[in-house]
Amino acid sequence: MRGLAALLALAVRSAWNRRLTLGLTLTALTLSVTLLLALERLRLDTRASFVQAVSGTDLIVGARASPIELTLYAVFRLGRPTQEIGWAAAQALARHPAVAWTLPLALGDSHRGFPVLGTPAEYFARFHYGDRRALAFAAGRPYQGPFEAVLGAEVARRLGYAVGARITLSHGGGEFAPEHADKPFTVVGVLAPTGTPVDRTVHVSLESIEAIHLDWQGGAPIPGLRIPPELTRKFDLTPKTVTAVLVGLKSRAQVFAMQRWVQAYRDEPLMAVLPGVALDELWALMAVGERALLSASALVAAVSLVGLVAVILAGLNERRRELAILRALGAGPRRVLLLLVMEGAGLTLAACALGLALSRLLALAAGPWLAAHYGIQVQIAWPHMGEWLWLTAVCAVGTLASLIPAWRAYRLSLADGLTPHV
Amino acid sequence: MPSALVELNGLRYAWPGQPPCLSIDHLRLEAGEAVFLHGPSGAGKSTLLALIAGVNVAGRGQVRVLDTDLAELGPAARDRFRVDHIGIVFQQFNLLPYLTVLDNVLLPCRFSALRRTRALAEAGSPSAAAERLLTELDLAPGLWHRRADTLSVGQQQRVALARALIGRPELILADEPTSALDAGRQTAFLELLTRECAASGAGLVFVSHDLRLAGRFARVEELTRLNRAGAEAQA
Repeated sequence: MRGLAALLALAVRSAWNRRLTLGLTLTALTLSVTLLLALERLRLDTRASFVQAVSGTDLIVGARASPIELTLYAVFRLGRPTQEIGWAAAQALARHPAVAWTLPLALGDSHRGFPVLGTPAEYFARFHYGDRRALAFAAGRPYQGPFEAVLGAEVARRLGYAVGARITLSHGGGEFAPEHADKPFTVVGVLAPTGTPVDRTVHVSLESIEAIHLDWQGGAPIPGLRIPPELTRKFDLTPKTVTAVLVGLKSRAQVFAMQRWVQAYRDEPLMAVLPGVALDELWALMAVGERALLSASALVAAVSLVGLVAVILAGLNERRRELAILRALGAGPRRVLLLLVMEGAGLTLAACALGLALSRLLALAAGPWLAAHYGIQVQIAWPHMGEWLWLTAVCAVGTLASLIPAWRAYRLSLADGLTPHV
Repeated sequence: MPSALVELNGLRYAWPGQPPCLSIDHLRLEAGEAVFLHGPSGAGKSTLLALIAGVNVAGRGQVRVLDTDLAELGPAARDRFRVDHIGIVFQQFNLLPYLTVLDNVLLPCRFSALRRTRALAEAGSPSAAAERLLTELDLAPGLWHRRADTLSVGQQQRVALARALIGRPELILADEPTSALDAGRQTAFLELLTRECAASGAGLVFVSHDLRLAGRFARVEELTRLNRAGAEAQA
């Protein structure tokens, strides 16, 4: 054992002597491990941000269509609902004894490309995202009357709006949608960033949505009819239809019973989806690209490992005299083999440790920016299962790969004996 | 009969896949004896040294060093036996370039408890033993803490000799240790080598193709005469 310790000490000195080439290899390997870990972390955190776009909601109820479609527009405000549900159905849901609360959602309008959501002001207290986080106001307050709007963080930032700004909504989405120019809204609140689709949403009350459509029919203003904003109060502004309803139950245990109740609702065809399940399905659809990215970084790691082996292998011929001296000092061929494996494994291990540290530093540096721009909450935490797997894989492959130069060194030291034939 | 330092009996050796290159019926070296082993290149000098050092194992016959049959030791025990009892000086590039002179000399004490103990008993500490040897070999203290590869070839060979001698191994193997030196330094180094081996009580096997160096040795062996591998192949 004494010999082994001395040999290890020599291995370190010897590696230090070749620090330039080994350092470069270590750098390449470290960077690829960092890339691998950063991508894995980003993947996990993006997934978490995505899957936690809504929380605390037990069911999303909408007109019968595909569950993914319903999730897309109810949670991500993407796509256009083809069918609405009647106000009576929404009311029936709200009255159901198992239901704690409901949030009717009316979608369809937009403001400069950002979706407009009509929903009761209760939304700001009820709606949760992430790990049961509530919405918070960065400025202002919830809307109280008609023609008041609350903006998501990204809408306000991108369009440069603050509380007090006046905006007009467009009917439908897209660039050339006709505008509700006669009924401008006042911004009364701006929400804090959430990293969810809430950031991209313009919120108004259900009554406002109803009011701006009083003098519209079939997607266009009714010719000759003009109802000025101040007169809209004289009309019944109860919505006739809504796009979807978020439902919170008194007890989660009732979720499947409630789902069956919704599916069996007689007056119109309804559907209820569990948001968690639907979001998971959606994520699975989108995971292809992220997997391609991850395989690319695995390839980068493999290339760096090949580089490591090549460097050790190339340096071997110059080390034959060193190996002969070690032989004279009582190191057997197996010790020589061990020495080379330890060098490769040590470098890989160092690269993994450095890469881990670097990826955390990166998360620390880029975290606030990612959260602000993409709403991805990067965790600076102890490595996740997936990261451990990558680290273990890199270390294992690195150690196995260093068997190649080690085996060559073993053969050389057997063939050379005491006299290197250089 | 007192026990021999080195004794070869009926030795046969061939490198893998090659015809036999060494065939020695008998060779015996007494403790503390110095022998000049002469042979042209390709006569099997390095092979013989590798066999005596236990780096390679004879296919047939016996290699006994200090009454130990090297073939009977396991590979690990043979490697340990080598560092415990044998000091080796190569032609050149004897030193690990990234260590200091002193650390190079101390290497055997790091790998062998036996040699460390002897150095300790002799000089109080391995470092003291190394410093004493370096002084005897005329290497100024200013050099001791320099990297080995900053020394001249002649100085490096003397450091290698100090490393071979530290902890008083019973046998020194020298493989053309003067071939990288110029003529004047060859004689000086040879003198140092024989003197220090004698002072340390170590036996010396000195192999060289250069017969001019044989003058200092009481015993000179011709490897071409000892080795019958060539003759056997013709017969």
